[in-house]
Amino acid sequence: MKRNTVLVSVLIKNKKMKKINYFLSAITLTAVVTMTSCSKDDDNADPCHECHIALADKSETAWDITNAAGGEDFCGQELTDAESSSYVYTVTDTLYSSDGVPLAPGEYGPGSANSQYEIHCEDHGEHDDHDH
Amino acid sequence: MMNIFLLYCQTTGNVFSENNTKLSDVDVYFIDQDILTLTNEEGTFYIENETPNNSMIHFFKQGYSSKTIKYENNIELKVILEKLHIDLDEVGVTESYNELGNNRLTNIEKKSLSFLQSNSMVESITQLSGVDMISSGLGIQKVVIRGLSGMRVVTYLNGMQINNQQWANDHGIGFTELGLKEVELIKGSSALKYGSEAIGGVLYFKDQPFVIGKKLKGFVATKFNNSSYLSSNQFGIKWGKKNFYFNLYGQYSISSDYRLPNNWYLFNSRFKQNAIKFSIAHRRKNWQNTFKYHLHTEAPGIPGHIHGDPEESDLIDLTSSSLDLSTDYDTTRPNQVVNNQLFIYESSYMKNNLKFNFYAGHFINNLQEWEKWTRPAFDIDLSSSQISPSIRYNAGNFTMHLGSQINMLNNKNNINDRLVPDASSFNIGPYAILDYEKDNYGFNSGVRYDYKNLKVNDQSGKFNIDYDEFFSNISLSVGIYYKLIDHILRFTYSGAYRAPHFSELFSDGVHHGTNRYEIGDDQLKIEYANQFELKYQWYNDHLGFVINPFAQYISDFISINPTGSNIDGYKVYNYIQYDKVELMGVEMNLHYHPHQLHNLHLEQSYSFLHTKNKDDQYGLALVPANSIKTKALFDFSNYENMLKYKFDYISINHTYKFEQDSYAEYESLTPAYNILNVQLGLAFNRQFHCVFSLNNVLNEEYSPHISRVRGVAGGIPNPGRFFNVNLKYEF
Repeated sequence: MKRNTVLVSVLIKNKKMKKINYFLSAITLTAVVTMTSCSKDDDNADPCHECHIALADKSETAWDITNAAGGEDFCGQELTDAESSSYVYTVTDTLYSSDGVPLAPGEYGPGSANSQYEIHCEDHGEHDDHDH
Repeated sequence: MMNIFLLYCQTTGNVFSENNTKLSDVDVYFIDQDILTLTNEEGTFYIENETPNNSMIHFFKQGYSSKTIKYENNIELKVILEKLHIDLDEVGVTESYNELGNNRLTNIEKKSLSFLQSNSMVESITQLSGVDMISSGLGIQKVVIRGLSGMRVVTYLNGMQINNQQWANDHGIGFTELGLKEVELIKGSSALKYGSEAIGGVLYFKDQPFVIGKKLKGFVATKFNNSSYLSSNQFGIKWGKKNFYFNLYGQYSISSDYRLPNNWYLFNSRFKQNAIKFSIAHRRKNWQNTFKYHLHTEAPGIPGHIHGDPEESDLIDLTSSSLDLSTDYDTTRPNQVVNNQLFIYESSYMKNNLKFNFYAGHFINNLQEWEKWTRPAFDIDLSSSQISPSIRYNAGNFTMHLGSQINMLNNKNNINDRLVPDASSFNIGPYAILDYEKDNYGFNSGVRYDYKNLKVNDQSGKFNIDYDEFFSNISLSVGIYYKLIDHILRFTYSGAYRAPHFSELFSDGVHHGTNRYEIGDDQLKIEYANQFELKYQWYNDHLGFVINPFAQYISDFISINPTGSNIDGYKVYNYIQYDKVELMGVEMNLHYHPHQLHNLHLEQSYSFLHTKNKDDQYGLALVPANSIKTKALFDFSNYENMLKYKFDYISINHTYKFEQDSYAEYESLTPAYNILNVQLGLAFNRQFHCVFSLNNVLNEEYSPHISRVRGVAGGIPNPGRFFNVNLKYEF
């Protein structure tokens, strides 16, 4: 009789242990799945970015440019082209940087005669609200 | 009959204090088997398997002197640990086991790594004297030892040398504290077993050991701060039964841009990190096999990026006035994407006085640096393989280590845009180390011969190189120690060399991570280093004192300097070689524990370093400022009133960094500053702990001399005042 009680007790204990193990395994699996699903290392979902002509002078003067349709965002092949080493952007009307520096009409970009002017599409910090 | 068999197959023992009290919860670590167990309430421990003779066992309990013994299966294991009032483990006063060697004969320091008590792993290591970090927020951090970094500081993770393009300051350490127990550190060039190239030092990171016990053990932990809105989460599971052991860990961390003291946010200081790792071991009598796998991915932003002259840039152009958490966790440009994978197989066999060890590791690092959205600036696969057979032989007071380290490295660019060329190297380094210890004195000596073949064959158009060169030399290390009552004196000499790296020989291109155009020099020669070091330690029940003067002389020191010209809007930097460089300094540690106030611990460490470049009117680059670090810790363990509110301890940490007026041509003077941090530990029960920290309490605006962004916009400051909350639940 005593032997049976011990056996039952052991079985219950084993069952509890198994439950705990299943529970912990589930947590682990969830964690692994979550981490794997979040592990895309370059997850900027927005494939469109604003670009500008940049002059690598002391403070990098920048002039915003527009896409072929006149919009701000460069997407897909247009973005790839804008970032290529042969890209030429034609300025038809004088552009002004945020500091008021003018850029005369002409061709700019790494594929142009004005190759010191680069095309940059990376983001910058939002500093419109800076309080000096 | 079964019981007799079980008893025969078990290893048991008892641990007592000096007054014969049974000590429970003592860590009993079987070093050669990498297995940890604890003593029960009777002070007894046991493991199911038979332990081979001469296995090393380390006993540790907080507040007691630790002890390492050699196991003999025909002698009853009874271990006595002495009560300590002071604990200077981390500067090597007490006996401890070290992967890097015998800590009585070699100057080895160690630091336990805790997810709970630190903001980051590298920050935690910098609490050791003589150790600093190059960083730009929590995303990119790397260790500097006595003013040397990059290729001169060699990092090992569980015995595998980590090669992750560590030549550049913007390439971080490549892993987190996930599943790690501690780091061992040798400053300077005396780590023969782990390579001659570690002129600055060796960092050896070691995993948590395997455990035994009927129950599954593990933890979940989380960390948050209100500076970059970091959220870091980890879990771990450990299981061991009979001959089989298994550990599994995972991590997911995400951080936005950090807040400066003026409440602006450093744009693109954000990062993401994921990691998963597991270890499996199997024991059969004297033979043990272990396999480990580690996957780490990260995507750190590169803050402070500017086209033009970084010194002339304005902080306003590099910061944001607010965070939008719906978008400011997202990866943006420029950034790095790093994927690291580590495979380790280790097999050891023990018989009598011999231990045979075979180690094979393979590390794959993929580093992409993106400035444009549609194509990376470079995309490099660096794979390294390491094979290290070794034998340890004990004969009385002598211990002999014989072995060899074979390293094969292959650097391959995946695209035509590149900064460094395709390259491969083969290095073989046989070594012999002899330790002798008797009573209160001992010595060790070691010699290592390295032969390295570096091949660079890159006809990609960007490069046109066909280079095949051999480098070889002998490295030496000698150390003696003497102990007289409470005084310990140790002297070490070491001589090592470092062959030039292919990045130093052949770099040619824009490095966005450093805002430079870098050009190598294929005429660079071997760099030689000689180091002399003295360490004196004294301690009694309430006061401990360590003083550690050193001098290192390096000839043909490889450095990088501006040429004054510009390419593509970036300043051009050339790799050059200085004839003679001297690094001298002293590190001191003081630990005071007032007799009247047993729970109060006062610690102070001093790091003074003076460098001299005999070949130039300017100093060396990236030499950290001298510092004094002070810590006051009050532990509430005997205060019922505090314990009922779950208070565990409170600590106040203060760092004073002196003005740095010794700097390289392209650096500038860095003023002195003070940093004050406060930490409160809470213990809800034995399993659930919380740490609340207030960092940079004074909201000091400072940019450390060796910050990655010290030269940008007059020095971009480190984070302003912030708090973090760390929680850990163990089961």
